[in-house]
Amino acid sequence: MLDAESLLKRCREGDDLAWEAFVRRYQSRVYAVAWHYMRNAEDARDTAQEIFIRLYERLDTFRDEEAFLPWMLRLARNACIDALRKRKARPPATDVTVDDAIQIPTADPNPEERSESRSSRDLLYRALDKMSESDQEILLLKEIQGLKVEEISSLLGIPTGTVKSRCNRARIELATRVRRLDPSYGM
Amino acid sequence: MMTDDCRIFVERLDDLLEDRLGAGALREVEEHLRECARCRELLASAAGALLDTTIKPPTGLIEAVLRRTSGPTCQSAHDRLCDFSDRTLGHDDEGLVRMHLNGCVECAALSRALAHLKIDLPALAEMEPDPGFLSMVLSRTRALRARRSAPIVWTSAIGAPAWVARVAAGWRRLARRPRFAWEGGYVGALFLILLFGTPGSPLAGIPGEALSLVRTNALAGVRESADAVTPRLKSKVRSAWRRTSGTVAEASDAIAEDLARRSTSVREIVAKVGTLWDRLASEDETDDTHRPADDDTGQTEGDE
Repeated sequence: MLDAESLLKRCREGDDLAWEAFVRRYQSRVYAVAWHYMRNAEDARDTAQEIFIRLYERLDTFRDEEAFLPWMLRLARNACIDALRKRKARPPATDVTVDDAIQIPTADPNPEERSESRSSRDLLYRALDKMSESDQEILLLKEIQGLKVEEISSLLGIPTGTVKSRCNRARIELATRVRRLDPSYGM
Repeated sequence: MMTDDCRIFVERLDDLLEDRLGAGALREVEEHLRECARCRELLASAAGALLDTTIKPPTGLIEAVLRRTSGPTCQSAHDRLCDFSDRTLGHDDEGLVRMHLNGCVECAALSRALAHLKIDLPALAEMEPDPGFLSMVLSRTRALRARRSAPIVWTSAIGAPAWVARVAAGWRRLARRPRFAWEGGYVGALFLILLFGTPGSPLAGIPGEALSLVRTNALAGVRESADAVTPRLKSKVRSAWRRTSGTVAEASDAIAEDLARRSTSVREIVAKVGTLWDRLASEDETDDTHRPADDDTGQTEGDE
């Protein structure tokens, strides 16, 4: 199985199958990032598509010595921020209630596991919704997507010490909020 | 009832427990203990209290002490809880946090929640999109790819060699890069500096000459234009003034007459008010006191 850098190299050379393999491999991750910012399925789908279009157009800008995941997440983040700006400029025709907005798809085959993972995701996203955007973003990049502190520092343009302290504070706050919503969480 | 031997035993009890009794005294104590059950019990309880290190302090003692000294320490524990959860704390700090968690129910629950989040959060990294997502993305990128690889019309029209088409395609790809404009500007500026700015260049003096040429010609041009335009401008201003000045004079005369008429009325009103005031100010009432100010007939109200 080709790694991301090799896949991208083949995509740059015009290999269609490599591009399809790339999209298949990363569609869930890209869609999860888009969903995290947009918080509804329709906007997340459109934004995820847009992210892949940008990735395709900027294949040439990926330098082989650069780590793939930070590069992809930087493009994804910028696309999501642009989409959010457009959405703010054109508010939706109908108000979306909180319950409608939290439509979290999951592909677990077992209905029981699906229900359990959905409720766990619901709980986490309900707690995340109460946090500031910057705290949510730092949790997305570090705790969810697994970027290193130095990579986040470079992406957001803030010192590594700030990344670490902000992330720790956000984790404590998230744990506190989750326990407020469900006191049995962690037991 | 306490005998003398029991009293002696009690006096020697501390020394016995601390192993300070001499051989003779020890023998006497042991003899007494063989006979006296009460002193045996006393010895057992005294010895047990010394050895018992599991006496529990009263509940809330630690909190009470901390309240009066450093204050609650939960915030300090929170500051280290993430590193504790990640196992990146030093050994001593880890021990301190663990000790705090053993005694603080809230912080212990928070620590467990943090541990669960380490598992649950990464699970949010991926989310399945709709089934048609992949085909939508591929169809859009296929269209992009088709546009990219389309040959330039003029090259195929004039039968240009293949290398021209390759160069054109490469140029198109280059121009689409986001930094292309910056790079082009940089290269262009560098080229101009090298061409006109370096001392040894044959074109180095051209910018200076061009500037002085423009300055001279510009001033001369402005002077010529001014000389041509001024007489025409003067005659237009004069005729405009002749047309408007008459109208202005007529209007100002009318305004002056109107003001004069109004000021005459004002003077009359002021005179009448003054007369009325004088009347009111005088102490003696006269027949004229109640007469309206504009009535000069000499009749008062009610006079018939």
